[in-house]
Amino acid sequence: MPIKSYKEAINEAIAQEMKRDENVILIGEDVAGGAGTNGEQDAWGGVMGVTKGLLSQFGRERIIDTPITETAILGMASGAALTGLRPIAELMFVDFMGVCFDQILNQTAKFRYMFGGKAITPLTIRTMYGGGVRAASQHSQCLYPIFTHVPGIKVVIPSGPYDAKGLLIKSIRDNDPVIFLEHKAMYDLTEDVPDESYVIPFGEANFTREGKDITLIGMGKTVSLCNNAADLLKKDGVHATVLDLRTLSPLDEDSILESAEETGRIIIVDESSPRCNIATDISALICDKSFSYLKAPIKMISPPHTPVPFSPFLEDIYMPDEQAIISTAKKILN
Amino acid sequence: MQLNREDLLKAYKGMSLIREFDEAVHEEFATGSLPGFVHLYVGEEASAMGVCMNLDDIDTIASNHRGHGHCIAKGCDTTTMMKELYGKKDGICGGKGGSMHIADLSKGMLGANGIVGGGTPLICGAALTYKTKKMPNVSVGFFGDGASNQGSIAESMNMASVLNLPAVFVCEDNGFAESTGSSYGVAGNLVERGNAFGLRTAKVDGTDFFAVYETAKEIIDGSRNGEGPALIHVETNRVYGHFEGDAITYRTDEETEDIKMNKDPLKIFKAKVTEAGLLEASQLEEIDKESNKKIKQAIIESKEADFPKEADLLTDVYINY
Amino acid sequence: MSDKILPITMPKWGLTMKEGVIVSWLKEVGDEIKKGDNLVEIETEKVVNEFESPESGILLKKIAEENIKLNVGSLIGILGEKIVDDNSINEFVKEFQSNFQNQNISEEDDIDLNKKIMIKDLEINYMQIGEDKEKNILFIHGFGGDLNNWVFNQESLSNTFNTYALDLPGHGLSHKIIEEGSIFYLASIVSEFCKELSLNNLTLVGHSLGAGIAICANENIQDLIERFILISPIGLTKEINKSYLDNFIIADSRRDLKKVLEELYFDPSVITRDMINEVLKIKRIDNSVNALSLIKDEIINEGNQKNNYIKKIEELEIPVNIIIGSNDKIIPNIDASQLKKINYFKLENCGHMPHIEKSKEVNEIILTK
Repeated sequence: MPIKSYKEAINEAIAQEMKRDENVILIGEDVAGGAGTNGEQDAWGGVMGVTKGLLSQFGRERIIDTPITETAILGMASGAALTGLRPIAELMFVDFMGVCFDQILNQTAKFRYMFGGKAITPLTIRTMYGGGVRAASQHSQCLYPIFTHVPGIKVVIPSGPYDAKGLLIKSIRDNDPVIFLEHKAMYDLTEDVPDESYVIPFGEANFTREGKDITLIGMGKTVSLCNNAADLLKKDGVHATVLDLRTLSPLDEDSILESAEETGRIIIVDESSPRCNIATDISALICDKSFSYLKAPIKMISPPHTPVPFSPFLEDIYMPDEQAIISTAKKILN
Repeated sequence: MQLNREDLLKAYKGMSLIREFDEAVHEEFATGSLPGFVHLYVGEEASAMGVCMNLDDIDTIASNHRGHGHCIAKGCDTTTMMKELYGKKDGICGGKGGSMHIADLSKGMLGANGIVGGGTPLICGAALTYKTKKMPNVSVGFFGDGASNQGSIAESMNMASVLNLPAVFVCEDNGFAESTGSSYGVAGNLVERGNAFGLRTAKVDGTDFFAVYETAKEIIDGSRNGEGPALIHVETNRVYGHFEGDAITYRTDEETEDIKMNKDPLKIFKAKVTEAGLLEASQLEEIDKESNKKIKQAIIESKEADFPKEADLLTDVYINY
Repeated sequence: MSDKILPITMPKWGLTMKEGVIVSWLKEVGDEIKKGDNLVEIETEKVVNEFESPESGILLKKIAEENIKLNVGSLIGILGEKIVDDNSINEFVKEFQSNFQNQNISEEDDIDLNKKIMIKDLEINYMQIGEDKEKNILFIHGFGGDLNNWVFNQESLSNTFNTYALDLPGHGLSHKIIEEGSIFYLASIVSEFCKELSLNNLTLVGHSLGAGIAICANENIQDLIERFILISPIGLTKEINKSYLDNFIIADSRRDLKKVLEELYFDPSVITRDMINEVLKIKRIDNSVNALSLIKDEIINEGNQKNNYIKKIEELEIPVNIIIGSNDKIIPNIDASQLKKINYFKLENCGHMPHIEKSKEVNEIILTK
């Protein structure tokens, strides 16, 4: 099978869906780049080059560069979705959601319910999240707990290229609004990815390792931390199950509880800020539904309750890592 | 441009129905039988009808919290609208939206909106759909003088201009943003704001149906023909407060009297058409009686109708989950 | 008796295997091991299976510990013809390990050995292992399978044959959109494939649906085929487990698919997480389920098998070997007396997939019969 990067897999998903369905359009800031200039058209293809090459395939009628106006971008995409298009809107950095959050929170998420089940809003919002690249506090946040909190939108967080393509194709085909989160430090990660289009369903977590001693739950980039930790723990005779959540809303509660009940020891690794994040949400779920199976307190590994620092020395301390998982695991195993 | 008899009757029917609906809501609300908030359109009828008579079912509008008039002008059914206000299962939104979220996508009504300026970006979306699919349609966003300052309005006008979208922005300036006068809150000049983004613009007396209709016709035809977005500044008046329950102490009694006596769009329309001999006064009275009857019946049915079931609480959050 | 020490190393099962884990040792130090005895249980990404000792001797030392991941080719244990002192053992191990460390991992490991060929406007994926041999062998998988089903057979037999395994249309990495799913159509693709690659002196090995395809292909390529090996073939009985095929098509979650795949095996512990994921990955490709449905409708008619190949088989004038598992839950065992002129092998403690569950026996049959 061909090897592709996370970036290539996402580009391919968009291109294949745009070929398949003429109602799919891409809207965002510099998704091509060069509009209204004398220089290169498709100058950027997105700030990280993810959407480069689409302009020449689909033209400016379907690859739409916008001014820097997040409210109008998200609102326009939402209105287009309501009236027959299937737009992919890019929110360049998830940190910018503060600028346009009303359009997501009070408009897009609520149309179907508020209008008594008559609205269909097939909108996909792609956005970049995550730290570790020295982008500092306003360009490094996760914020997916805030989206997960809102009824009416779905939240998707792929951990690698294969999942990214299948989940993005599913997001575009899904008739509900979806937020698709891409970790900015993962774009060059590679994996076997089929050339053909395929779909991964929502609400299905993926087991990437299986073991009876402890459960490690990750999402997005923390899945590879969990995998690495599991492999290191195996050398010491500790067998870990690693669960990749894939989608936060809907959440695969069955797989979480199944593994929690099997091992009784759970560590949830969540890169978003610690108060009210996904780790706390899942912890409460397990305590509520599977309390009697617990052999130790549920552990949550998240950064501290601070903005993301700039200095590399500080940011490296801020970000969760394998060592934190391993030492926590050893604590709860004794 | 002369309107024919049929259209004149249609215009008055619409305005009459809007008037009866919101007057009835005004009365009912005072008895305590209506839950939640309502924001009434009494006095602004010519704006909604004048604009919407230039639109068909495929054209779309987005509205604001003061949305009953726009809904009715765009063809929404008044009985199910009333049921919605009562939170009943057969309401136009299944009882799950309420006054501020009334919508009917089959009539191109993209919803009243509880967020000031929240609905306007959506019309850029509908307009983008028309442009992408090469449809000869137009999307109209109604918002007030209070909303005109929101970033969302500026962003939407800019976006519509950049992409040359068939989007028409209609600012219904009734002089007050909640309890604050627009002379205080709206800096500069509304029409010039539109000009600044390169939009075609117009300013019109919103008490005169004919003025609104003709101005809107020219503007909307232009957008249909590829001339891009436009802004209409409609000067109008609301008889009642920002919301029902508002004591309106920020406006003098004389001002309120003046609005009722001299700036009533229905009275002005009646006078014009009867003086010109286009319609008989009795015809218009008949229409008023009909509207009144229809709305009274709607209220009776709404009071008797069922609330949604408990299971309905959980439905339609998603299409599938 | 010599002091000869024999290294036992981590085997390579299939071309993509890079490492394995010893799940458990099945023999103790000091035990007499005969070649072919089950020595250890090994888990790879794709499968869990027992590893048979390639040599005879006394187990002198277990080198690999349980649960540690080792590269293919690493030392697992050592056998000797007689007990040898510890010094000699340690010397041997040291020398072996230092040679092993210095070896460059063959670049071959990183090459994707899947090849593509256009047959009747469809891109067919296949794998060839072994060349320059006189005889050819083609493996045809069954419904919902792919060429990786032959992981325990293809490489083992590549010392004797030029081995080929293909992905049928609608399966694996081959083209997914098919106009029709009839056995004849699929057989025509296979026949063309054999002609294109000039596979003469050909042993056709087909599993289940693949066996039916092999039989039907005969009339197009009679001159190429010299022998049939039919494993759990369709077309011999009226009955078939229809719900297995239906459920295989419907299953879209790991949980549901695991239940379905368990029906294929006598001992379901052979199924790994990765095996399920690989099947799911193929099924989730656009048009895959459509292709499977079209083919299913050509296998089953109103709850029974649509095709009967007994006559066709009896008319064959070349050797035919039929291998089935005694515990096949998909296709019931046929009464051996019904088949004349055929070598019939019923393997005990074996389900619908003898080439996986009893690969040693199946390979033996292929080599000798």
